[in-house]
Amino acid sequence: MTSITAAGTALAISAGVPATQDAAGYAALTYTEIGQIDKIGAIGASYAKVEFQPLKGPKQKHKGSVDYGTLQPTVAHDDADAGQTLLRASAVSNNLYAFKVTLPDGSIRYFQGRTFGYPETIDGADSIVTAAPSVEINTVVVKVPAP
Amino acid sequence: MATTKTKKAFIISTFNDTGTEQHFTAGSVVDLPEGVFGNYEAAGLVRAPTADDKAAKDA
Repeated sequence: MTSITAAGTALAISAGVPATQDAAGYAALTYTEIGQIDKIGAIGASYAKVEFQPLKGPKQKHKGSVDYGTLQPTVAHDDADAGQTLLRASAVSNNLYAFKVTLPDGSIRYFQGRTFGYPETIDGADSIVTAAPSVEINTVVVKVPAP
Repeated sequence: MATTKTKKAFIISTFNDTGTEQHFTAGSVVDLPEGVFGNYEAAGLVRAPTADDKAAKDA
């Protein structure tokens, strides 16, 4: 069995973008880890479904345009965390940023995205102030296997 | 072995780096690897020190 738990996974961000869209290009960048992450969420592409229903015969389904997805982590708000501060800065920028997710087994996911928002959630008295940034992924997710 | 280029950085506001577990205090001047400086600068946490910053540090 090769299942792994999510505990220990890290999300990091770089203000730079890779010269080449591959593992070597991404590895050449410097990343700043984002602290106080609660969960990272789904990473990966999905395709639009294009359907045609002929008068005779079954519905035809085709793969349409690709959407590389949206990263929607949640974090406990920390004004003094460098990674969170860079992520907040990315939310008011139109630039692409590079992201690196390191799983506990050492495998890595790299991609580039634009941060479309950084809303904060202030809930009941017995809760932590959190933020739910939304990063729209613009590239293929480059996967590096565990060493 | 390649050496990492560093840059002088003036710390604008106090912050922590979770990945490196380093703590930086506002008003100080430190040496940072260029890539790290780039990220912190983009975050608005550091800037290149002015002559006044260096003088204040040396005083």
